[in-house]
Amino acid sequence: MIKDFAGIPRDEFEFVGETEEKSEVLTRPSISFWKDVWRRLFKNKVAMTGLIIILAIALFSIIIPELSSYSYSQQNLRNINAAPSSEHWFGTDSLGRDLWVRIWVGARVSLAVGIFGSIIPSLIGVVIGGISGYFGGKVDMIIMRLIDIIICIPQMIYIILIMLVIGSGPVPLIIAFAITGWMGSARNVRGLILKIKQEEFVLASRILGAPHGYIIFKHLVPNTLGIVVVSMTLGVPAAIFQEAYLSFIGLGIKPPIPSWGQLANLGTSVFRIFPTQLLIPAIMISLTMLSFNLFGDGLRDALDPKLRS
Amino acid sequence: MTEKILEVKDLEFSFDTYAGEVHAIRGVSFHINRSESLAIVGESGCGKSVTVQSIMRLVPTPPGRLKGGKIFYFGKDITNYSDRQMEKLRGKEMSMIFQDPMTSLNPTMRIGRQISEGIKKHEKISPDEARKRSVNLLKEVGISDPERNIMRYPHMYSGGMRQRVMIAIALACNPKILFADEPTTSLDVTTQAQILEVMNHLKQEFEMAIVLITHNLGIVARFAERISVMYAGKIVETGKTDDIFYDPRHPYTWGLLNSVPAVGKKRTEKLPTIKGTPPDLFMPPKGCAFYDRCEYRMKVCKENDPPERMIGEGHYASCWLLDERAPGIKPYVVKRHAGESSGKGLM
Amino acid sequence: MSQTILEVKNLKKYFNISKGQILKAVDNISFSIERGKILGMVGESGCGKTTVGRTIVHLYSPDEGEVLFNGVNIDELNNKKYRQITKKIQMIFQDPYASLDPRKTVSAIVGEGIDIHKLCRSKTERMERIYEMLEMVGLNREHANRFPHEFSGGQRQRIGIARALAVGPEFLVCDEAISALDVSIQAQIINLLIDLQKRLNLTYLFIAHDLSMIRYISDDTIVMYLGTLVEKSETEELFENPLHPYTVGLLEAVPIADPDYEKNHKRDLLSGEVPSPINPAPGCRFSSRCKFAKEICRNETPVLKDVGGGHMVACHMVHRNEWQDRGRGLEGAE
Repeated sequence: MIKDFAGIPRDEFEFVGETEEKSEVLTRPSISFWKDVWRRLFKNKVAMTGLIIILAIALFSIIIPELSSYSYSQQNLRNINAAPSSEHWFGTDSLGRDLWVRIWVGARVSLAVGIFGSIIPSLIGVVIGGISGYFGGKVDMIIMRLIDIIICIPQMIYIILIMLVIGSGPVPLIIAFAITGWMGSARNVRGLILKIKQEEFVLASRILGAPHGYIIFKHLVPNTLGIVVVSMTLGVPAAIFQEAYLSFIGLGIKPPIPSWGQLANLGTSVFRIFPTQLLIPAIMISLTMLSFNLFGDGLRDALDPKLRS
Repeated sequence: MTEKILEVKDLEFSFDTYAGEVHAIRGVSFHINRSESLAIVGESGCGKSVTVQSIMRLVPTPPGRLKGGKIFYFGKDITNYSDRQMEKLRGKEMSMIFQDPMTSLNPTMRIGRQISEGIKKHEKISPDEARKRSVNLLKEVGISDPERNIMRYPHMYSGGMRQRVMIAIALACNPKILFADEPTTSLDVTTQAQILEVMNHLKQEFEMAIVLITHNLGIVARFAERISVMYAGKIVETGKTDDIFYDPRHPYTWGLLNSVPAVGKKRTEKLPTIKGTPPDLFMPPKGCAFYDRCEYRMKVCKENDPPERMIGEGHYASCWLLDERAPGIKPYVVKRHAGESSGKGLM
Repeated sequence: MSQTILEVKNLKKYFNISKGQILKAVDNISFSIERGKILGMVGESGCGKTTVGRTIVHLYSPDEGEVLFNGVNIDELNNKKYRQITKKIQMIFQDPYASLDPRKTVSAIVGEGIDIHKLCRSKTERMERIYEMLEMVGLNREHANRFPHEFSGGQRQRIGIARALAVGPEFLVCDEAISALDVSIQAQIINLLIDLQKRLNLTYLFIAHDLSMIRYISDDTIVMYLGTLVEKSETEELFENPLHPYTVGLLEAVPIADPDYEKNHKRDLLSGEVPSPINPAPGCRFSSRCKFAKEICRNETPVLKDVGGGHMVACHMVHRNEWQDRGRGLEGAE
């Protein structure tokens, strides 16, 4: 579009006058950090799919057992090992128990253990790692060395020993996870805190005279919250799997309370003849783990400032 | 005889972001001659880095996108060269050094190897020959005891030394053009002076053209033969160094020159400033991009982007004040280091 | 009339890197600033100027020596009294992108000091004070609800200044406050700082490496090298008549925005690099690069001495007047 510059009238060449302070006006709409994170997360279809699946499974686990005409422990020895039918959508197990209900009650257990078994150790780790990172010096050194020593022994061994002492079941399992699973989170949070502690906006706060509590709750927590939530989310699949593994080897959740791991264990013995009894709990475990991983990944990407355009 | 080795015509480059298109470069034209030093001056966001990176095809596309314009290297149109073809040019014909020497060197590779890798990519050469050339290059950039230094790792060096190594790597294949993107900004003043000396020496020694991107007018005065001033994705004034410093014609150039405090001026007199901030390149203005901040703006400036006008040989500026219909204004007062004197004026 | 608002006496700050490796960041520095003045501090990387700044605002405690504010040693105050002092001494930081909490609104950031010290009794009073601060630094009320990432570097720096002013300080440490900004924005911020200094009768310690700005803004200037103070003088005197070989080298290295001057001026540049501040050699820290260095320089640390008219230099050669017959004209060596 070539304009005819020669044709512009002379009176266009008059001075307009003082520049207004228009240039300090911000043109783009305001968007808070968390809103921005949520927007990006929303756009991530894979992550959203994961979230929807998680919510669906959670919803089903709450509602289905209430609606079902069978209870999870109800046996019917006249209809054992039945294939999926309109009566029993997932079939029955070797004691005639309705697998559909048991899967969804098991979902409650596995999800609860998975979620609390990730959140609680994470929180413990946040507190310990936070103290270590914030106060530094001797405190930091002692805590870190302690972790180095504890971590030498595989977590499974600790869990097995603890469960042998306090018994099995969902609550003991969560306690065992809490006692043994906080170290990784503590290390991560400590590293984060060490970094944020020397950021200039934290220094500014100290120079303004902020007491420790103010700095921790107003600056350190909000700036680590995102990362902590991500690692909690990504810790759930690990917890679910650990529960499944422990129940599988007979240690985690013992009958009659079902869990996916336990159901998988029961299904293994009849796998060759009635494969669905193993396949269905195995698929549920895998699907749930995958969904948490996808959602957690999406959450991490949404929080990563480097991807901010 | 000046030979044009690189010519850029009406380059347009944008970034497609979630919030829309950012018009980073909106029609940039310049050229560089053999063995010449050209400075591209401007502030952050003006597009000077993107310009040079897009010539070297270093901008990831997406989100970057070449919208228009042409690039000629020794007369050949390289605008649509494939990645393969560009790889042959990069390092061998044109090379680049960056601002931060800390992150531009591979920390796990010895210095000597980083240099010879560059050579081996473009030339078939024996390891012995490569080693000899690496040693020579380190000598050229002023690193003492080069025989020992080629065996060292980057972390053993200070910022100034690393920058010299970067220059050595960039020079390994004798490129005809070196793009230097703020090469001394992160260095100390005394180190900066040394690096500039090295670059000057190499320019003469290797007959290499240097395009220096910077916002430091002192460096430009010391180092550049020609200057292009960029603002909001466009070049607003181009000329020989003397032209730009002693006869500048664009209000933005005046603003830039004025923001360096003159010797003898104390804080009782306010520093002249350019009010406000550069425009958002999401919605570049229809007329002159400097309109909002310009002291001399006229009605015509708002809707019409001024065309480039010739002021003298090799001296061009894009400003409506140069049009014969524009009213006269007080001439820009040239600041010389020893004092102030009146400029040649506008007419 | 003018009293001494800040006094630094024989300040030493060392850092233990590892066994046997001591980083002597600040090694016996003394200077004082009078109320209402601006003291410029220049030096290159490793000179310790940031450490000095941070020790003054008590982010670090001195290893030896003292920092006296209005005659009071800050390091010896109890928590309560210390908290009171924090209102008087504030800092402006270099990086406009790192010095503001990205999760907080501008009003939360600017109001932080008000909240910590409970300076306002009601919400309205608090917001009014925040608006007042924003307007004082050249921003608008509407900016209060926005987030840092929506602002340019220059605007963020203004927010940082507003935050510091909100508690009513008397003394500001400007730690490279304009170094990360574009040239034309630097001028805006400098004008703002000068304006505020006049209006609020502030005192500044202006730490920078841009010599032309230091020359413009400071009443007096001190030059630091590798943790030591090598020269101190009234600003114009320092630039017109630099005495310490390092100061001369520093001024020689600064490029001047005047092509004719650059073409005609032969440069005598310093060679070598700044040595490491870890376990420094004895004697004058500059002796390794100094072309005037003699035996005494490598053995004995020179003391800061007045060589006339309040111009202080720490150099054996200068003290011996062996410096005076260099025969160099120093027409505005900046």
